[in-house]
Amino acid sequence: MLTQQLLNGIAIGCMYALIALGYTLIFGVMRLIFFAQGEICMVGAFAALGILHFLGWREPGGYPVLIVALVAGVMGAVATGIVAERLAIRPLRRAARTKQLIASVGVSMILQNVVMLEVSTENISFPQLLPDAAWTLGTAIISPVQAFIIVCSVLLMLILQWLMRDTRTGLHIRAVAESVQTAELDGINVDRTVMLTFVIGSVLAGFAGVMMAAYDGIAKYNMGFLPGIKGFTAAILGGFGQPAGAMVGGLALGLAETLAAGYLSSAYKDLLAFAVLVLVLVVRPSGLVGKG
Amino acid sequence: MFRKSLMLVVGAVAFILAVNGCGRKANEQGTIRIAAVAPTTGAQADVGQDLVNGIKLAVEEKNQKGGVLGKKIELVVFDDAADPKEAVSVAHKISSDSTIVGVVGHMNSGTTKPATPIYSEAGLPVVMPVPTNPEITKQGFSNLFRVPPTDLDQGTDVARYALDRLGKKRFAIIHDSTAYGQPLAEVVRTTIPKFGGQVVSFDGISEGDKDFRALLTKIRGSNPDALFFGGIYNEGGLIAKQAKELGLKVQFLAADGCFGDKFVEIAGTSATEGVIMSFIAPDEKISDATRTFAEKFRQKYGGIKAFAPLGYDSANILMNGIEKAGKPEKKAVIAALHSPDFRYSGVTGESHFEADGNNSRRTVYFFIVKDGKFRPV
Repeated sequence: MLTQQLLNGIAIGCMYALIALGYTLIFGVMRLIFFAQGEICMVGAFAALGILHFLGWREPGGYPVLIVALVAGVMGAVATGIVAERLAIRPLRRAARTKQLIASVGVSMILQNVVMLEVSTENISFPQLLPDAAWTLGTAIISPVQAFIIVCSVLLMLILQWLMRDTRTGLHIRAVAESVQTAELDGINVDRTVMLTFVIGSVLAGFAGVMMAAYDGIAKYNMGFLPGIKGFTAAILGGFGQPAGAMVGGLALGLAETLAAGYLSSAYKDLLAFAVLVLVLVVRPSGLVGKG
Repeated sequence: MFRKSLMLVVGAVAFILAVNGCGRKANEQGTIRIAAVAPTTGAQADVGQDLVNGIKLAVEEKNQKGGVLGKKIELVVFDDAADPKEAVSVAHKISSDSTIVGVVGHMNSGTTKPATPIYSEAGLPVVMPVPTNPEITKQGFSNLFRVPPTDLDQGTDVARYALDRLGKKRFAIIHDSTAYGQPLAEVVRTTIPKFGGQVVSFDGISEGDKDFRALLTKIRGSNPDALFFGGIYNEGGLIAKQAKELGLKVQFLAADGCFGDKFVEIAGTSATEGVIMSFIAPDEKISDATRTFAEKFRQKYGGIKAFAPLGYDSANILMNGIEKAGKPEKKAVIAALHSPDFRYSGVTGESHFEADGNNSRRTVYFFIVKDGKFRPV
């Protein structure tokens, strides 16, 4: 039973980690908490849903269909991320941080309301894309969706690490994160770098959104809100501004939540998970992976 | 000059008042206004709209036959979005409108409970089409009339069905912590040991949760042979789906809140095969009355989703009450519905109200899901 709970927790934790990475990267370059991250997830899920409906796929279509859905979801999320950055965040780059923060909350509300009013207020069932067949691991059962989420999340995180450490883009992002002025003096295009950060954050969020909808089997206009808050929590838990922290934080939160639901009380799982957060912050204000 | 224009103004004002007054009077004499409240937006809009359509059909038919007391019925539809806060504000809106003489609603127990004291204060007769929470009619109000059986009946019947007819012994129970799901689950929980069964787990979830794998994994460890869920189809469908995914081999049971195609849509056809569900209205093929209704409803609104027959009967009960009262006055309508000889025979059977407002007919119907369709058992 513990193995099964750990698997459940890791799958959820991976999705939190992906969202948390978006928060952390954007915070790193802009010192901005971009609260619409959860809604970017939701838009990703709806973009995937849109393409599946458009192509008329409703029954298990296997991995190729899932890839198509993921690509559409990620593209939808990236487009939304770019538009949001361009229209709501960039004009406020030199304004006070609080104004950017409010603008990002505004973006989040706008996205929720657009989908609520234009698509549906109800749960929409998300087609089951992967077959039922599951693998057993001792007494635990691992479903294809769970396996896919875990494997892809790990891959994405490895790619992100390579991108940040070994590419020019990563270097620019790290430079802007260090100091905007110095980066500008070094001839780095700050606007472009910020935009790229939003693109990376949106890719991760879009991926998480599609996987969330596929995992739960439904999509709803407010599906991104709670995961958004939890992703933010995970970023804080791990130590804000550090990619490694976001991953650790996401997994820790997913596991805390699952173990609380499995061994204590399912109605109190959010309460217990957030109690863990408060505890960690009191004992280690810089987060699990934080320095100093 | 001054006097002349003053006269003109006074004349004009008098004229406007007269015209308006006449217009208003004509309107008041022309129609009788009743309110319908259900969640027509939000997560339960699908079945909420179905309920409203049932009410609409009843009103249209009545108006085609000449209305009530020689007047047409005017239906005013309100949306509570299945949200208790919204329900209270709707109840205030309806209560402050003196032209409304009766209410059909709400759909959820959780919205009906906070709204009923407001209607009671205003002396409005309320015919409740769907709410099954037993506490609603225990508040000591005289203006409430409940068409379906309560969860005391439904919960007991579900438990006995699983024990006696299906031979299940070990029960896991989950509820959605709402005014509907939790008391219903409590009734099931207390009934099972009385008839030789055992409750191996009892857990609450939060409405709106989507991932129940942790809870279901825990339940799998306690080895049940039946799983009862007290709640709505959104969570119920996901629980059925995830239980199957985790290899939990149990008989899934649920009640009226999960009834309808949305449950199958969310859970998927394979996860719902063999699910047993109790419901508060009969199958549409059970009698002439149900068949006629189903046919008329299909022509106008497509198929019945869940609560349309209950909406239809409830609206007719309210309109018959007005007819019996002889005048569209709230107090008289309440007295008429309470009178011992008030009887209404409709799609869901015969209705007659006891002193506390509950229906003396308490039939609970059972359905099994086969190939994604609900079939009576």
